[in-house]
Amino acid sequence: MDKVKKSGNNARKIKLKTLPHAKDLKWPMLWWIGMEKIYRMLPWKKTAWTCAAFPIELMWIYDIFPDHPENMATVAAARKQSQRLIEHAESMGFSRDLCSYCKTNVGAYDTKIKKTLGGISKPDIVVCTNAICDTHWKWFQIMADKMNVPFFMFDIPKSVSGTDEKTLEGNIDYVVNQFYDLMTFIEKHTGKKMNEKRLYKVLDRSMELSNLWREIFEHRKSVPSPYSGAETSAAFFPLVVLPGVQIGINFFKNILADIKNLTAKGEGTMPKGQEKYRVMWEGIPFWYRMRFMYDLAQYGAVIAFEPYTYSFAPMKKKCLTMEETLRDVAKLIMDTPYAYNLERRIENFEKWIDEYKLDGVILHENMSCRPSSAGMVDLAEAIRRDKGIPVLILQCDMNDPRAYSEEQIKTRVEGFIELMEANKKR
Amino acid sequence: MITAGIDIGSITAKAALFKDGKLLATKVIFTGYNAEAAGLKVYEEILAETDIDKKSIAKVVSTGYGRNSVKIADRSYTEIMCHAAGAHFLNPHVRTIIDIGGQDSKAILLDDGGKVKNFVMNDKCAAGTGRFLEVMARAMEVNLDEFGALSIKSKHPSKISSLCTVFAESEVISLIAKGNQRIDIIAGIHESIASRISSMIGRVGIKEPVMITGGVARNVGVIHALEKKLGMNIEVSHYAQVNGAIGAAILAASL
Repeated sequence: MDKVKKSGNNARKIKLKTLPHAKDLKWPMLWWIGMEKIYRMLPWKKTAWTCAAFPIELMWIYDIFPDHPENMATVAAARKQSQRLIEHAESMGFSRDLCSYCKTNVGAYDTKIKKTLGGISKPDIVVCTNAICDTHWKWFQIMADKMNVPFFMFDIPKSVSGTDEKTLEGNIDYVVNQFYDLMTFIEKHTGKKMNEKRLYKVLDRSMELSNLWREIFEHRKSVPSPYSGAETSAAFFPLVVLPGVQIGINFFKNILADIKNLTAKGEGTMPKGQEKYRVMWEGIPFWYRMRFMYDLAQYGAVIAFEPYTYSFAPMKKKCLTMEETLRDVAKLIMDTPYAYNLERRIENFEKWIDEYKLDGVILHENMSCRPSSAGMVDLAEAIRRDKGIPVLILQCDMNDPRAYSEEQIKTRVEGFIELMEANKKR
Repeated sequence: MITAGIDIGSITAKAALFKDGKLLATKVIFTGYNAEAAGLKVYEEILAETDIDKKSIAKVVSTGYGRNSVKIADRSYTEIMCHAAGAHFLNPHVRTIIDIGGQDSKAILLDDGGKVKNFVMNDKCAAGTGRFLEVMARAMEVNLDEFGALSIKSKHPSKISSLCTVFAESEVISLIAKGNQRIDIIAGIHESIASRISSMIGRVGIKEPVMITGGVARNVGVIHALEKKLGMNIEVSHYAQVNGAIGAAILAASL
């Protein structure tokens, strides 16, 4: 009998086609790196450390460069530096169980690693919020103390489904009051003043950036998928640090044009006829193993939707007064999907599964991130029950490669692919 | 039509031959350091023992951690699919499979037709696997084959609270120093595995009847502790250790 061996795991050499403008991501990145240099060089310019869910726009409005420890931690991981930085932080006494972004940041600052490898410099101020992560609070406070830099943290109440209007309004008042405290803090420690004209300009651009990403997602509903999570995981960078800056808008416009072009021709990111499984990825990617999502292509699987990057582009409203603007920003910060309670998360996930015609869901149960991992077992169960599609929970970590075990993850992923294959045959 | 299944585990390599819905033969050897060589060896040995020519084998499916190194296979499946197919063949009523192998453990939930509905696997950790038992048997200076039977005699199992193999080993050593009975410590070790496995099964949603597969199914102490912990009977097949290979041979027939 002739044996024709298919390569390991029946996998085929299928590669994702990246969008023609994918490489243009370097322009917003270079702009950001260049801007930091300028802001640090000129004495009247100021810099801050900020965090995820913090209204970064506020920093651009105040003409303060928003450095971003989490963003730089992902750079360190992608450049294969995170493990040594994490181990360095652990040698300083930080617990192994602590968030790997936090430890990467501690290690990066303490070892003075180069910018291009994920390094980060001392800012003029440290500002953060506990909106999606309670580790931010202590982590940023510790670093501010260590660097001897003024620190401000604002507290965000959790807004869950069923919260009545009166409580919601009270919560908005509470957050807006803290915004005014934050402004006083910024003005006191940087000498910068609020510029209302710039406020509306920055917020308009931020809205445009969000809308473009949302439109990109509308086109991702097409079959075959024109744009994989493998690409979006890097391409959403402007939403993280450049909301309110023109260069991100230009990049997203080109990406959108590429996608429209592909979908008009009925083409996708996979070679023609090769898209077999449309998968949702939930959670933060494995930054040290960015190939993971690309490698799914060999099984005919594409990440057609991921709530993570989508959550960075909420629907924003055009406001006419400063008070209205602050109230809207407060509302948006409280309305982050990672703060939703389970029933609302299930509702959202099931809606996305239908809209994006998904065949399976991968949930990253992230050792570093409780907010994104909480409730996953119940979420998975609800999806299996209501939608009849396989759900894989991968226990791993976003920035600590020690948590990633190649063969074990491979077996789980292949088992998941086999379940989707069997599901399609039924 | 004769088909073959080859299951390369971290400790042993297994092979099974299947002909027209019937199991012909099974074979187990140690994997050693070369998974590819072990796959070929177990395949050749089972063919030699059954006096079947290679040319008569219509299809080969490989499984286990070394599945991709089996070059002669027509395709590979994960252990999840193969254990499901094997268990369904051995008992079509089985709804939950607990597979405890050398380096991992799994819980697999089947639907009424024997198809996989869901599965969970252990964390990246040796606790709750065959390797854990090997380490413990060594610490207790007991032959692994006697390990299970000894523990059943215990009336007062010791408490092993550590979730880590390394820490559990030092805990065991301190229990020996404290004068705990050997059979009680071994029973405690089995109970600690049962606790770990039962919380993993909880994530998949257990349904009876339950079958245990994989090499650890040979350890009656683990089965006894699991039955006690779960409050239900666990079926152990004579073919538990080769169940993955049997499933692979069955899946090969449908290629």
